[in-house]
Amino acid sequence: MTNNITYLLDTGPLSTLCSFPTSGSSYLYTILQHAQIMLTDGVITEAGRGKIWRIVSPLLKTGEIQSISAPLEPEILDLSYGNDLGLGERSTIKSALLTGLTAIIDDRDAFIVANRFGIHPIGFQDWIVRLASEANLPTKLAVDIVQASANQYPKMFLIHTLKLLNQ
Amino acid sequence: MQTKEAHAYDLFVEAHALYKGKTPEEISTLISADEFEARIRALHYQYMAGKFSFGRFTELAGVAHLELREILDALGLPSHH
Repeated sequence: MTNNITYLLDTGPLSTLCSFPTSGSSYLYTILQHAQIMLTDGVITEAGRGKIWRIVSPLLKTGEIQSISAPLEPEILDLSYGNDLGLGERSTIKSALLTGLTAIIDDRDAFIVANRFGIHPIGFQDWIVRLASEANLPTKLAVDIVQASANQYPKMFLIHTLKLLNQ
Repeated sequence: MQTKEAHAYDLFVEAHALYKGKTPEEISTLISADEFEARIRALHYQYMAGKFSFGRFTELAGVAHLELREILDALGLPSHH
């Protein structure tokens, strides 16, 4: 067990890490050397419905990725946003409220709702910047990850993110 | 040469089969290429209008996150606002 900080990942950022191979290997394996990752049961359910399950499932079995059952509370999250946010997004917000861990959430609506509940998630690119500045993720690798996944994020973020990585 | 729409449909059939635990043959019998494209474009329009999140979009489309991004990419549709 390392002293790396644990982050709660929503399905979007998890999929991003699983989809961009470096040297034939998912970026997820590299990131696990610099951060601990926890997934909610809702995110695991969503991951299990797609091809990233081939990557995620073995890591859950070995404990290299941790899991948590999201609490039922606050029920208002499901009552008010059940038709607007996905299962993974809602369970990530609930678990962040319960644990106090930083959530990594990319979806705009889920990001806003999380803030309404008093948690302050960060987006994928800012997380990579944080890992580079605080967890010894090599800058070159961080730049590679950000550039490889850039088309999934607003173009206006890229130059700023690269500047942050090169400071 | 396969059109981008046909490629997107092929991606959808594979992804929806995995999502639903059915075979691709069952999915292609249930949902035609035209039905798929009309549905995905309608959902995308609502997503871009802020009606629901990307996670909810995947549930309504019946495909997982990564697969939905690939389908949208194949159709030339953005996966972010």
